[in-house]
Amino acid sequence: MAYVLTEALQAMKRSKLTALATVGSLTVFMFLLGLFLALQANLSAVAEGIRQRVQIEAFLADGVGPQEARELAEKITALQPVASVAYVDKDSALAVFREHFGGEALQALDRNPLPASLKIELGREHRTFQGVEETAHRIGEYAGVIEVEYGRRWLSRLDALLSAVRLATLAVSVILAACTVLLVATTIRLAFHARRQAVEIMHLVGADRRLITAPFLIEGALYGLTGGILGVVLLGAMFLGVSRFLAGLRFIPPSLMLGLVILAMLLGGLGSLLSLRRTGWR
Amino acid sequence: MSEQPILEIGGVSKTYDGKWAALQEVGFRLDRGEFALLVGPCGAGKTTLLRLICGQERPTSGFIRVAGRDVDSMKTSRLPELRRRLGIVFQDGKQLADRTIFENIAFVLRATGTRKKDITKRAVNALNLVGLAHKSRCLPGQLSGGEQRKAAIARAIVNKPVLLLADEPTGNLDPGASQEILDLLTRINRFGTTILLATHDTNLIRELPHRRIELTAGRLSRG
Repeated sequence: MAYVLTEALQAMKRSKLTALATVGSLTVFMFLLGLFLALQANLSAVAEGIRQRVQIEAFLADGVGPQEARELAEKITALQPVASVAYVDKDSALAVFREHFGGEALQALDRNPLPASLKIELGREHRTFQGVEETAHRIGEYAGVIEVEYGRRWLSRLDALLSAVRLATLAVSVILAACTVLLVATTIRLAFHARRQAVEIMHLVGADRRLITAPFLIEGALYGLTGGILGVVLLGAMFLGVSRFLAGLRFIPPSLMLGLVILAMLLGGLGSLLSLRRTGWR
Repeated sequence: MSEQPILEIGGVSKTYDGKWAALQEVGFRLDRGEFALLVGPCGAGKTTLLRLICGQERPTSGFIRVAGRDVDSMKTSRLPELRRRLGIVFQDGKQLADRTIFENIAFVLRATGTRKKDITKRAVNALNLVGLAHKSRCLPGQLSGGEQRKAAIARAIVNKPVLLLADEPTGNLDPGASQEILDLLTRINRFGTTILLATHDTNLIRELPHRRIELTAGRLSRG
């Protein structure tokens, strides 16, 4: 193992410029990948915050009394996605309205025009556009419910935006991973040609096949490892800089940072392997 | 019963592209401790035969045995094991230009799995034997042609081979340097290593008493 590592490190030292260009490019790739993951993590956190506040409001017909409203609330509570139901009677609705718009509002009218309502909260996992819409639709079918409101438009936009960001992150990840593999494969191919004579000598003196190819595999993995570490460090530095101006910004968790570095190393190794396959050594 | 030969070749032919015959029905044997000269003009098939012996190529027909093991039908995965028992002095030296003479030898020892503590000892012994211990820190480019060949021989014998194959080890050397190489190989042979030396230089070997295996246009004309 010491021999393999020494050979790989010596090879990188001998071709400094290629090594520098490869590590530099991989650093940028891993930085971009981390950036997209951080972007997605932050958008998801914002979306989750918004979802926490999502609730359905079912307005009741004037003829529905407190007793019937309570029965209706029980029925709605029994629905699987529903976490809690709160009854707001006509007087409370008027009080809330006056709190928002001033004590004089609606005084000209001889009766309270605001309907009683049920405020329904869903379980956390059901607060998606689809979950809210389905439940709202079912509640709307109950007798005594005249209208259901749940912020339909912006909830669907939020879900669409999140899906788009997720898709973009996935696409960028795949492209960057492919770039990493191809770049390392090309670098190792050059390294292989540069050390062709050494490979030939090893081959002819009876060196084990694995011992011949291992330094190239390790070299590719080392490129990935270095690029991965530097990419994460660069991302961390940028995050520290930006978080001064944007409070509440989330950085990718340590497990994901480690995952990025390991991924970069594996992709580097894969690039080497592909390159050696093309040269007929794997 | 006679001792098992180190090298046994029987009816070996090698044809390229199905029509170019480099070797035709070649057969001979080398006994342990022998020093044989494989002679013939350029293009007679000497290098092809050496390549077949170390498994770099496979014969089209016939058999090749090294120390009792069939090379012609040997699995590719078993070839490294065979090559560790052979010493090869290449026509072009094949020294790594960016490593010292010592490192060139140590590289082979490391590549063949020699323990770290034995590497220095064995490399120094090999350099002492060829008289290059004082130049162990030189790069190949800093040595004369004759010294480069000696360094190549040191590398070939460092793993104590049962058979040393030398392909034109005196090529492009002046008569004095060539004689030194032949003397060195003779000394190595006296220590018990079987040697097959391929050369086209008939002037050089005129005085040598060793057995001659002569190839002419791919055929054995004298064995």
